Amino acid sequence: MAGHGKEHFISAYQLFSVLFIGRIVILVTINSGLAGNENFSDLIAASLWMFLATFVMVIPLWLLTRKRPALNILDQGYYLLGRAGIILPVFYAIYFVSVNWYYLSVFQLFSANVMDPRTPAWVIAAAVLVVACYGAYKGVEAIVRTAGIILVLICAGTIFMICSLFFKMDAGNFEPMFYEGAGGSLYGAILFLCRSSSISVMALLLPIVKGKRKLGFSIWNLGVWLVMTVVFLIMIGVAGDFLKMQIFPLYTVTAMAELGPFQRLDAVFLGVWLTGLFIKIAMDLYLVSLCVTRFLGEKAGRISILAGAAITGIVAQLAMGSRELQALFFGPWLFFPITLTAAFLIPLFLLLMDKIQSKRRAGK
Amino acid sequence: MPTPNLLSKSLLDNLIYFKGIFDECMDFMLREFTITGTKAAFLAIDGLVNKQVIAQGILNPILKAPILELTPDEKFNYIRDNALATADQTQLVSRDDIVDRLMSGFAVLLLDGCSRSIAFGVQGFQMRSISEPSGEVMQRGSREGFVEPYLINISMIRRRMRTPDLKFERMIIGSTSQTSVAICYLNSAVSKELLARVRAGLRRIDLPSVFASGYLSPFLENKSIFNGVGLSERPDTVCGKIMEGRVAIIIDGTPNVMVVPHLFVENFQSFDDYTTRPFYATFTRILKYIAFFLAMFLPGFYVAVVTFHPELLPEALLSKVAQAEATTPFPIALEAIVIHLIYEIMREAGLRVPRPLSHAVSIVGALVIGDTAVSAGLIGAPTLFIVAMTALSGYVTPDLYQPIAICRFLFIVIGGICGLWGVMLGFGFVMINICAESVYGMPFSAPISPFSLRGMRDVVIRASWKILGRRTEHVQDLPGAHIKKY
Repeated sequence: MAGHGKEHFISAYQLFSVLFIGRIVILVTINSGLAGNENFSDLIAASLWMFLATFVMVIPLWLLTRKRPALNILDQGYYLLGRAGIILPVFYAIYFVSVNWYYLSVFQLFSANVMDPRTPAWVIAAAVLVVACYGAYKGVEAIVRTAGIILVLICAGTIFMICSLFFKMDAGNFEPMFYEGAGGSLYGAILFLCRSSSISVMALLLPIVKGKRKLGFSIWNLGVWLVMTVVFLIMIGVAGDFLKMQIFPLYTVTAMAELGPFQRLDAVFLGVWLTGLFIKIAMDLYLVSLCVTRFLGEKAGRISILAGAAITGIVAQLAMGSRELQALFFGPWLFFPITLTAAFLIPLFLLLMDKIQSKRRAGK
Repeated sequence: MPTPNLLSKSLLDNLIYFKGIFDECMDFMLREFTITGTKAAFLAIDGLVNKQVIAQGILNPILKAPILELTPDEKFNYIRDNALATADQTQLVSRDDIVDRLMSGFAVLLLDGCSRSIAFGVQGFQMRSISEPSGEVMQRGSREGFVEPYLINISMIRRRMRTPDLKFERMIIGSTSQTSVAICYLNSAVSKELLARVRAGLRRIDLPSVFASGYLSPFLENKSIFNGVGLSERPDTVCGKIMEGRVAIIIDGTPNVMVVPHLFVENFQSFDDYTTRPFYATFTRILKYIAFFLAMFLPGFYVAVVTFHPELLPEALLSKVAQAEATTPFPIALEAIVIHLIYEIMREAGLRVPRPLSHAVSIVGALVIGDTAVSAGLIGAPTLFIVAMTALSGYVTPDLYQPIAICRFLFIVIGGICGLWGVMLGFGFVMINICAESVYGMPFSAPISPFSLRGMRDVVIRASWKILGRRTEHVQDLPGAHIKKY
């Protein structure tokens, strides 16, 4: 496997390209039902809360990485906890597989509802997994290099969509923010945060990142917030109340974009946009293999890519057929605690352990 | 270490050995004579040597020379130092070396009582004259193309780069064919690690014969569907690559010189880009990238759009496509596959048939596909147009034709099954394939990803020579390169 066995370095730009794609891809599947909110204007505030919360959540990881820049969170766990550190690769492996369930099942729901119904959703999901496995086998450098190219396409598609829809906006479509209180925006922020495994990805990859990481993180977070805000503004401005009746409102809005004689360009936009999905899944599968390699060795790590993909596919398929599972997966209450643990609580715990151990050593 | 197969002092022993080696070789020439009482023999391979040069430049002077020395060794030294008028002569003591030289067009003189020999470079075989390379036609620039003898090719490179910094190393590859291969590089520009890797790669080759560059490619390239080894028939192109720190591999018997590492973006560069003005070169570069995407994705995209996403097409175009497709019996994906198959058969036929027949193939192809199939209602005219566009676009980047031809079929199938989403996934797969590979430690996708702004001055745009000439960008300087700089 290209990702193991020899040293690999990626640039800060490449890392944050992957993270940006992961955050943007999932935006396609946003809807008022999932957001638990009928007022889309609140999502603009929610994206701001998410932006601020991300800055806060990354602090423990940043401090921890500053202490031992060459170690990722798994190595830090072994360093600080000894044998008990094995719990971290196990946890993160399960976490990244779960994130993949989430992404693939929400994508399957999306494809079954709005993409071409003549192609079974599982066929497309299987194709996504095959390509993602290939990417994961090729290793982190392959994934981030591909992400660098796909990011350009996604940005071009997004900018075009925004420009195309800008003149269709109607100020009358906007509703006042916090009309029904601040609860909606907070719920939206929690939903956005639980859908993001970015900080956990950073926890595993930061030691191999070269370049201006702080600046990259700030630009990435700002960029995500800006894109989300602009997309929500465009969505509301173009479709207004009509969005509340749509399962996937962003899709509905993209269908209104046109270029000269070409109309209904939603398929092109979403095609480009969803190319990012396999980047996200490939990266998570790679990280699963990295975690499994840490406690079971390289061969198991290699097999875990296939196993992770198979589990992802099966669970996503099960979720398609069960409303209960959909409610569990797509709401924030399952994933928010897990994401919070992976991104914030574990680094914080390790940081505290480090402080305690440092004090003990100083006492001796 | 194997024991060297040294010459014997006895001429008889030596001749028995060589006659045994060349038994039933009708082109083996052996001429025995006497030099002031000492028996001597002259060996050569007929057809590889110039007999006139042997007669006038070697045998005549030897036989007419006033050789008064007594011992065979003294006679040998006299002949070597005073008697001969040839520039290229080497003293050999090993029988294996003698065989090697004979095979390279040398003639060898043996003396009785002397365990040394002299090899004379008197090559005189027939060869194709230097002409314009048919595979890389350029509007401007040199009309010289490489030929089959590698020494001529070396001289063509040397003439363009008159510096002792330009090095040529000789290797023999092929246990039976004993093919001469030369590694060529600019010592001050090349990464020593790259050079070591190329040498090691070539040394690892264990083939009985090497008759073309394709024999060596698998030992040097990456695992991508796209080639990590560049090929050129043009000395000026190869010199340009060597200047950038690349290594050229010249194989005796083929007019194609291999260059490593070969990056993906190099498939879109041609020597003409550097002889025309930057704005036009930039235009043609962009055209090539567009042509590549058309050649690769257009048929799959067309099949996906017509089958799954007809709403993407403007109304007028959609009605024309629907009208044409309504009269054909096959689904659009199958139609596209069949036409592409016919086109590939025609192309192969055009390449393989004797030249006088190629016009007939073109006429039959044009009539069968272009006219009869459409008028018979077997295929739709829009599909035919798409295939024609694809074929034309494929010719713009000829180095990429092979992967394009295969991927095209796959994209048609994927487009026909999964629609546009499938095509986009296929695009992702190709992107990973390109981005995952490293050629000799250099990312195959550089300088696009990992991105290098400096590298981009000769990728999508072609900057002016005023900018390009300021600093030569060496291949090992690209971002993401896992190789020592120098």
